[in-house]
Amino acid sequence: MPEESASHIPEQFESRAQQEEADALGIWTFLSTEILFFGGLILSYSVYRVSYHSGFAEGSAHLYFWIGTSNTFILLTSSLFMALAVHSIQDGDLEKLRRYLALTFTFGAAFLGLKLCEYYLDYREHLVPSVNFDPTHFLHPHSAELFLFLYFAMTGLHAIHMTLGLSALTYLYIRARRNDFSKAYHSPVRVVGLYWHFVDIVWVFLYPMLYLINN
Amino acid sequence: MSSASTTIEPSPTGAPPTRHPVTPDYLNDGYGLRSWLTTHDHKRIGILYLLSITVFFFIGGWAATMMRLQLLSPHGDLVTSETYNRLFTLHGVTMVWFFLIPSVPSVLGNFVLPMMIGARDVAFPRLNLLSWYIFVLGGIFTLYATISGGVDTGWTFYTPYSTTYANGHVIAMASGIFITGFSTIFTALNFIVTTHTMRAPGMHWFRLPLFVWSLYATSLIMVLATPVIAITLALIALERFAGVGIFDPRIGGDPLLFQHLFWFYSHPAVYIMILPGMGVVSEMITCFSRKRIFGYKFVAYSSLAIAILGFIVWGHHMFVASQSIYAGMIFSMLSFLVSIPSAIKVFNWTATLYKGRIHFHTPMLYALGFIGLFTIGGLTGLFLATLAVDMHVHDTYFVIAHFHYIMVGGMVMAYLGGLHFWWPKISGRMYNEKLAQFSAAIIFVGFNLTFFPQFILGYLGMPRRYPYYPPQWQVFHILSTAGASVLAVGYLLPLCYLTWSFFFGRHAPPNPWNASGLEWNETSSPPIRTNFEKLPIVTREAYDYPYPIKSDA
Amino acid sequence: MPSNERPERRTLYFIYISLIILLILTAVGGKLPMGALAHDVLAFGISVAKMALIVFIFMEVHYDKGIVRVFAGAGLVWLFLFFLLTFSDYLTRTWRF
Repeated sequence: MPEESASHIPEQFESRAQQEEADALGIWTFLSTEILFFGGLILSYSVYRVSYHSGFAEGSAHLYFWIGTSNTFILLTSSLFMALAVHSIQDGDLEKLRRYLALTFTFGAAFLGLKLCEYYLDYREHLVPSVNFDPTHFLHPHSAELFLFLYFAMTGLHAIHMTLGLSALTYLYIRARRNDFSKAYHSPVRVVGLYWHFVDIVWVFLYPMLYLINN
Repeated sequence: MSSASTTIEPSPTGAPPTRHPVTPDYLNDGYGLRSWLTTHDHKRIGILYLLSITVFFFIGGWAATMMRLQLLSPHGDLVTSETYNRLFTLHGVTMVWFFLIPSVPSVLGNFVLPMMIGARDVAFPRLNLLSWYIFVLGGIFTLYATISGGVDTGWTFYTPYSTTYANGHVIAMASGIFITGFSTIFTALNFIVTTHTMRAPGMHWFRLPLFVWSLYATSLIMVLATPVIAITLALIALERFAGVGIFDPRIGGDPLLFQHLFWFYSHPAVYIMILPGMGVVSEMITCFSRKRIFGYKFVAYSSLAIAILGFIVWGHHMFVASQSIYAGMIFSMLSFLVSIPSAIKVFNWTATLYKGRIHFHTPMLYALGFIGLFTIGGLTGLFLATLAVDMHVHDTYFVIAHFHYIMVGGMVMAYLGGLHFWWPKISGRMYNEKLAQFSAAIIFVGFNLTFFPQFILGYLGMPRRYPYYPPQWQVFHILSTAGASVLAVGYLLPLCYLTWSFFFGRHAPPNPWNASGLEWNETSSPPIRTNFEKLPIVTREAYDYPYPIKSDA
Repeated sequence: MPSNERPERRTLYFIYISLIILLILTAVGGKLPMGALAHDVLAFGISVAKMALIVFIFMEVHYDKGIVRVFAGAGLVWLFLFFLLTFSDYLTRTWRF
């Protein structure tokens, strides 16, 4: 079956407009599922945060504030480039599309690279539950461990989503190299863009939740 | 072709929409395993699901058989307690996730929805095929967990038992369900987008068959609830793997948080299971009483109301679990509210039957059985929603009888009814009507014999999930097991005669029931791969039946 | 595409600058001395503001038609219901777990 491209509308659709409407509703439906997926974790976090504020504040103080903050900056910048990528192909500019996709990818990869370094540093600090968590560092070891479990779970899940996003960007880049997109047809770019922005929004919430709990 | 039930204008040339002689039907459009396993055709995907869920139905049924045999005697001699725990877990997991949830949506919905709205396929056919593969992958994980010895936590996986103390293949089982959840989500996504964007010209929302409304409402629930069970199962698996986690009381975790997360999904899940069946019943009741549905908009909106209200009642599973009593009161009140839209449907179906011309074809028998048994099951739900009564019957056989009346007496009968109703369209063949009616009767008798004694047992205090019991209750268990064996015969019969009819049955006309609907009036039996020779234009209302006669209405 | 159907390039840069400013506010605000509740409200409020900027401009929801906006909002509404009723349990318990 020929891939969707600038010239071919898939058999089940009557028009390009119908396909684009379907793509838009489809990705937003998928993002709704992601809201509930992360939402379960965020609810768990919230329940324990309310109950164990001191322990959570302690755990938060042990995280690397500057890495978290830099990463937030990096991710927001990648979102700008993603928005510019969509904007470019809306004008039909394939060259700019490729450039901005590459920039988005670079910043996204930088985020992940920095995150991995941070995980290593967390490990060195004995902050990893079940692996080498050292309760003697804390006044409230139990709730600090709960916090750190949630920290790794939430940022880990986020990192998995980032990785999938990077794969999607690669896929888009390859298709852009093949001139598959145009002013008239660039729905996949929009779809991946929406996904990327969503993952960014999740981090926007995670950042203060994890790094900025004040005692 | 039907006469009084057309829903389209004649085509400009005046030619009837017959099948072009060289266009093969979807069953003959390509042969061999490869053409089936790489299909994008929603109809073939429906059949792939049909085969898969039938396998799981009999696995879950086998587990139930073992349980019922164990319960024949009060001392429990057949299996050990540990094995019994694994059996009821297997029964719950396979029946909920691998049979009931996919049954109507993934089999009948996949097959019929695009035709009902006048589309050639769903919006994302490749995603549809991927959904099936994901379902199979999840099934393989679950089967692996089962064959390796299974899990003894119950399908509810309560913590901290499942995370810390259980010995069994929890991670494998949880992974299987996690994976299958994505199958559900992608199917639902497809249905939602398809219904919004691919209706034929003239097919306004309020001209849609009610089956489409119910599938749409079901899909909304699937999309919003399933991700929560996914993250919950992931958290259990992680906690079990890591040896520490957020449900662990030893570090201040709350096991009840798990229950909130679990039931936030699992209560709407029961509506995922029943809503599509209700949609099927609307189709069958109208067709076999030759009557337009009473109160179309009420029935349509009630599906949406069930979907929404179903999300805010989950705490009624936790009344005695140390949930706050104030939350309990709120959940109890909301649970009473959620019964209202279901009741509206039952009233409207009954009003549809009134002054209709009733035909007791097999699908109608299943539909009528559904209405009666679902009503009993639903009413007993109100008993359970009442805080004071629930103190007494929670975790007893009363609960088991309640949900089996709805799931088996309701949902399975609706599924079988729908399978029989659309069978001529799916297979192009007719089944043996007398044998089918006989089977429906056997199922009805077997079902009641199995589950009615369980209401009594529960009320008398028999706890659920126990492999032994005081001897004075044995007579009820014997009745129940006897019923189960009758029920098993009832289920085996359609497996045999439907399969037989697929290959050897009489060829079916395009519309053997003279039903209304695009799938009956605009397609052949079986349909061609792209469903319609020419996309229809819709100008008539949904249930274009002769009754009620205008002077009566 | 006419400018009322999508953001202009200029707008995209402007929103980005706003997001960075909000990030600085979040980071600085986290270090300021104030009560725990005030902190939470401030941090959450800023996060919501960032989300709004990204959703309405980067994700073009401001320019989308009604049904897309409903789809975009539905998940959040459901999450809110989840939080509301779960906390109706946790906040009214009279015992520690």
